Amino acid sequence: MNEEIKMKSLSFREMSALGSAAAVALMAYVYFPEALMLSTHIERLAMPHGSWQIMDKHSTLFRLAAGSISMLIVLQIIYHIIIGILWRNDAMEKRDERDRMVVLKAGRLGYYVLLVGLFVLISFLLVGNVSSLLAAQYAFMVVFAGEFVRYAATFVYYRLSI
Amino acid sequence: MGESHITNNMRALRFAHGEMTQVDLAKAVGVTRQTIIAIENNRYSPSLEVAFRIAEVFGVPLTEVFMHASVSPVR
Repeated sequence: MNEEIKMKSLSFREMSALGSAAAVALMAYVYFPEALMLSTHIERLAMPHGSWQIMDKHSTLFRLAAGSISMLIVLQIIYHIIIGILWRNDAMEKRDERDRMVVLKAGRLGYYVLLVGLFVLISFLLVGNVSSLLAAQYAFMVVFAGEFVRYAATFVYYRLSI
Repeated sequence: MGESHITNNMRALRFAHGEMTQVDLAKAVGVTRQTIIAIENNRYSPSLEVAFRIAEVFGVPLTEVFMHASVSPVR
């Protein structure tokens, strides 16, 4: 009975995957609406008289990206310190064959998402009229989607105990 | 080809070996406690190497720890 309860509760690696997926989703939620708006705005300003405004917007975009990535790193560090303390015994254990299999399977899923996303992006670039700045944002989005799927799949595979 | 299912006697063997804990077994085998829990609950089939190590820890043949139950294919 006690073991059944333990099985139902989350392990350190499950918590790690879940937290990482949530952190990536949070960063995407904070970064992309603003970044896409700024990128579109910069495109509209791409005229001779708007050059100083473009510089300003580029700087804002850079600060937004750097701030979001820093936020993601800090969040991940703090979160992993907390769960490392709470799940001390689990956290100290070395990865075994099951962990490696979960990582490989989840990585494969994340890679598929990345690959499909990049092909879609390339198709848009070849046939559509997408600026380099927006294309960079979409590429960034594809990378984030791949990472999110990788972490989410890691969590699901651990729960399913493949 | 029918589905295969591997079951095990690990829980009974642990109790027969001085109520060995999952943590102790995990340490002896060299896997995580979560993996031992998953194997005991028939949710994960270990590699041959890990299966042999588990049998070694209990000092019994592999077939006394793991059983293979074939399920005939559904038409």
